[in-house]
Amino acid sequence: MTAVLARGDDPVVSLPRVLWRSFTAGFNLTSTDKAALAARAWFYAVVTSVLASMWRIAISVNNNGSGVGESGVGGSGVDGVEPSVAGYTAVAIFWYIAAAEAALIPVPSNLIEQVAKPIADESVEVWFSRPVYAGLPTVLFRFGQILPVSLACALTGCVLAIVLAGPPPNLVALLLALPALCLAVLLSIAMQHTFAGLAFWLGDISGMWLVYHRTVFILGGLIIPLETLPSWLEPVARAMPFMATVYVPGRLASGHVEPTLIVRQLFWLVIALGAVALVYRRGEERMCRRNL
Amino acid sequence: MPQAYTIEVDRLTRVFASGRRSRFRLPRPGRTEPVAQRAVEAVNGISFAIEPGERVAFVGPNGAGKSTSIKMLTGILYPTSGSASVLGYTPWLERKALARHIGSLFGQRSQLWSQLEPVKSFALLGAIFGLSQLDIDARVGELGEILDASDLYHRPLRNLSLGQRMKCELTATLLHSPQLLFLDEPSIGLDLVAKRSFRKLLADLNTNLGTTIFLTSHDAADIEEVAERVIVISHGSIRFDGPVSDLGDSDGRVESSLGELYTEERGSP
Repeated sequence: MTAVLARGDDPVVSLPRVLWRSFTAGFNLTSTDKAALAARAWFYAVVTSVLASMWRIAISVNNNGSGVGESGVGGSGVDGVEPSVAGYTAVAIFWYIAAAEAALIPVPSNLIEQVAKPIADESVEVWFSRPVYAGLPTVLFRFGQILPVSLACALTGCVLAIVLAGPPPNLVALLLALPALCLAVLLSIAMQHTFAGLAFWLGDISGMWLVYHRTVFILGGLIIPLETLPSWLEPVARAMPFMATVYVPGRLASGHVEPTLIVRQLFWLVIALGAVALVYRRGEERMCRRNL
Repeated sequence: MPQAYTIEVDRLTRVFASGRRSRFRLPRPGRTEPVAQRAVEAVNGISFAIEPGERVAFVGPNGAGKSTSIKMLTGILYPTSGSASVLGYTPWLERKALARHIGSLFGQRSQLWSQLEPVKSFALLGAIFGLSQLDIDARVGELGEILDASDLYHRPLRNLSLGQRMKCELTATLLHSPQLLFLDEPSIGLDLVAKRSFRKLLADLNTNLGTTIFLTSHDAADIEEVAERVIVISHGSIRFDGPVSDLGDSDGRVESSLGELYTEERGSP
């Protein structure tokens, strides 16, 4: 007896093409939904304005000689020097918050839970009968979905910042902040897919998104830039990937021309995408061997 | 010339263990050991072979081992023992390579992106299967005509009825021109009219394109109208393997024979 053989006539699957298709499918989906884009941009505008307002008060208090500057981060308003906290003036901090929030708000806060659900209920199996693994195409599809929202928020942030605070502190730095924002969003999605992929081993990981977000809030520099963290915590935060998802675009948009920050983002991105690919590959194998 | 088989299965077995003890459980004085693991044989040493272009119904009661068998044959589940060759591939070891030549449709699981219009899902799936955009367009056009579904492809998926969705699912399954179709309860949830056209469609696909069909279903009419051969599995073992005509009564209806096979196995009078 012999078997009908299909070998030798396999069509060539191009992974870059699959990823590009995944990205454009996601991008077209969101970019055509103008109502959802407007709603997200409005929410972003409210959050950014409130946070910037709080910071303006903090800088003002610090300028009057109390509070915030205890860890050596304080600034001064005397002798014509613009008041600041850790080198951030009120204008710079507005631009920082505008960019940092544009990287964070468009990414669904429960993304880990959303991605882990089809793994936990095994509906991810439909991917197993496809010639490529699910991890990277899923990340790129999400990136395509989220990027238009992030860009809409960034545009809104620029308008808000110019109207409510002033022009960007440094135009070159602002231009660098744009690719940094895109990389930050992609990195954030890739990291959350990696954590979600742990559902292949752990099953229910629905609580993990909360832990992830609290970590990003503090170590990512969302509420406060890393320079304002306690001196023992700042180097820890700088050594971790969370800073590349929020702090980097904020730091650049606030007028600091530091291209090495983008190199750091790229470093973490390569690791995160590799981790997603590995977790989904191993996870698929594990699910296929389950209960053996 | 030796006989060529599309699917060849030899003593394929899948055992699921239940009541597994956690490896991380700490010893504690007074704790009684858990009940020993219970092995459940979902599929128990089945063997059969399917020739190119055959239309085979793989049927059995709930929990008989149908879906487990299909999962092993598509490579998404490793067997405990035994061997299988599907189009010359060992499914669980060469799953990704085999995927380019087979189509699988699970009636209760969608392979389309719920947020996308079907035509956009097809573009993405086509890229995943290595098709050029030109090929995807041509294939979607061709399938749209065969399935009478061209006007559905540009509507949001959520606005389609179950039957219309199933046509889109089938389009997605057939996009890369698979030589072999695995259909796991594809007609579930369809109304009578949709079921009838779906069955005709499968028969046409087989006649016109020579596609081998391996179908599971609880619907006797699916077996009568689509399949030419039926394999009955119960409690993980094959109880019957032969032409549908051998199972039918004088009117060609298979339902009563199937019912008897199922109840015999359960030990009912």
